[in-house]
Amino acid sequence: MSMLDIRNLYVSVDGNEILEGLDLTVRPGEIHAIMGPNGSGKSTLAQVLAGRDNYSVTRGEIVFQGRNLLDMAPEERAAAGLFLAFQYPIEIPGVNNTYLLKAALNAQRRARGEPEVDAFDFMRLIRETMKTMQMPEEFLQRSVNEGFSGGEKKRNEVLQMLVLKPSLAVLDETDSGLDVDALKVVAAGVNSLRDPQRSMILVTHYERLLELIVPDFVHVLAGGRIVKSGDKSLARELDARGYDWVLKEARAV
Amino acid sequence: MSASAAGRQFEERGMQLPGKGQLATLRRAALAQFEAQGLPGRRVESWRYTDLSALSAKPFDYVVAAPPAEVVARAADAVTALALDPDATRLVFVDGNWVEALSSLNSEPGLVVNLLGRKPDALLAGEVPGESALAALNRAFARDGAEILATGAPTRPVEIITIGSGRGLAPQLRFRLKLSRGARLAVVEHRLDLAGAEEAWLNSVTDIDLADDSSLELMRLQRHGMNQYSTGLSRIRIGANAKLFAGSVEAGGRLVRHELEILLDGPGAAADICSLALTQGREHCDLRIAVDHRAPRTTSRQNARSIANDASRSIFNGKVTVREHAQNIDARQENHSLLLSARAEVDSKPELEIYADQVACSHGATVGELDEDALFYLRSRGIEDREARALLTEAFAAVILERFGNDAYRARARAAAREWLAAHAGTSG
Repeated sequence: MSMLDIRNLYVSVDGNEILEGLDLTVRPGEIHAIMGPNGSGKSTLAQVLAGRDNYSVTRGEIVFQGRNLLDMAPEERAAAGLFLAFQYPIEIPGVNNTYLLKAALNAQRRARGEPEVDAFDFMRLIRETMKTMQMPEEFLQRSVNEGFSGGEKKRNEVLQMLVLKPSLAVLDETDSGLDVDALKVVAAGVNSLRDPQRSMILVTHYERLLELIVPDFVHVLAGGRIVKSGDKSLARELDARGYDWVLKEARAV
Repeated sequence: MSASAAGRQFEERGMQLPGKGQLATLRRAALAQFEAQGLPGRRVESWRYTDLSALSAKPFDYVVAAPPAEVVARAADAVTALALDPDATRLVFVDGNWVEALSSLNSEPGLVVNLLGRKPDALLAGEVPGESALAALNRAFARDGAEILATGAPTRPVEIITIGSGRGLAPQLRFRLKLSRGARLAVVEHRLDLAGAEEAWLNSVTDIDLADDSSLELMRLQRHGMNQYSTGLSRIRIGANAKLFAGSVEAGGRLVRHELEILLDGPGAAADICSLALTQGREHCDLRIAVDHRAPRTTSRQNARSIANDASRSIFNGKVTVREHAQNIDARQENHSLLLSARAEVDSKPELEIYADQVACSHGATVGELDEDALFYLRSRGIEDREARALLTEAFAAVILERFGNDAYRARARAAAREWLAAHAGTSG
């Protein structure tokens, strides 16, 4: 069974078609990178997968682990194992970072019929994960993303992902705004989750992330559709030559 | 023949109030002043959103007698439920009368408490020229209250508990706080009632003087029921390098008007005000803060938040005045409101009057519903919609509660806010 099947997906925002017939299949254990010029619909795809409601799906379907994803509320998708690392993580003053992690983990466990996490085990898990992400412990007591730098916010997204252990992780430009050292930390965190049963979709502009998290497939999204797919060598080629040649090829077809 | 119900009562029963001769004359003058002005309504700019004129027609008893034993017994239970520090100085007023049996005047070095019901001279002293109608009404009928003098730094807060029994009474309480040079004091005011069947109205006036280098934490926790009207005016003078922190949580009452008039009177004086107003049902809560920067290098912070549900109404009026020679001023004001119902209404009225040129002044106000982006973020992490909404509502309040520096007060304020949110905003408590 596929992890994710997107078939002929059309999505519009305020009457503008952003995705126009997108197809994508992700099997367990695979890492797919989605690249493409600005405005090609990469972030729209990520938001639609997570269940943001200001996008309207006008045609097509998305099947996630055999279930109709479009029928599921955002929290149901999370409980079923889908995770989106936000391009712009939201600041939530007054909600403590640790509290969010615990509430999220327990909500997902309850939804799956599992018991709530033991408080001691939870703190041990958090401390270990903080170390992996090289985040100081004081972050646990701060409000979610409030006053975090761009890089700290991205690390915090990956921290949440490592705690929640999703079966499908969608990372929306998690590499943007990171310096080389932070990029390595983030990549190491993501790689630590690699597993034959777990899949990932990396939305990115830059090939440098894909040197650290090596994808099985690279797709070019343009004009709302995937116009070219290949292996990791496609990312290098895009880095060297830009997107114009792909777009020309696509128009020629 | 007096025009108002209060005036007719004064004619008939005014002699029962403490103080004869000169003091009775003072009361009569205050009553005349009150009657000349009448209860404030929308024609007065600072009362634009709150109209008290309907109160004058209600048959309140202004010449309040001491409460019967049955009421005192129920008040005792309410005080016990507050679980206050047993060693703290505690002043309990039931229906505007000091109740010795429920109070404790523990002696602390550097702290003197005088009961004003026993000192009518002191009770009526401190007349302010051109004072408001409510202050005049208060002076005309005042029969009790307390004067608190701090010369040192008492370790425990002074707890003032006012309890209404809802028996158609309109007690007029007066308080006076004086901090000597360098003194430090914390005062917590609890305003609550016993959910009586009849409407009641508590009107209080508090005069505060902070001498140079002193520091006052003035905290208030109001939890009134739907039959209670509550008006309170605090007039505060802050001397050079003296500091005021005023925190309040308003969590109930048919109509609440909380006014702080703050005078930054000496160089380096500072006022930090944090308020959380929670309204539901048909409640009406009006917070007015007026800060007058009269001296240079003075600072003020106003941080007010409100959460309004059902058909309730919440008002914030924050005024900042900077006088001509008051240079190097830092004045900041923030007012944010959360509407939980389409029928709720919030009014925010910032006023800035600046006559000096070296002034850093800012204000920000927002009124809205829960942030959709934050809600989606939480849901995308697996938190159910209902729980996510509750979490964000609590967080909205927490931003104010976290600013309360006094640990005991912060814990109480948090508990009161949680209880309110669980009862009226669908949070889990």
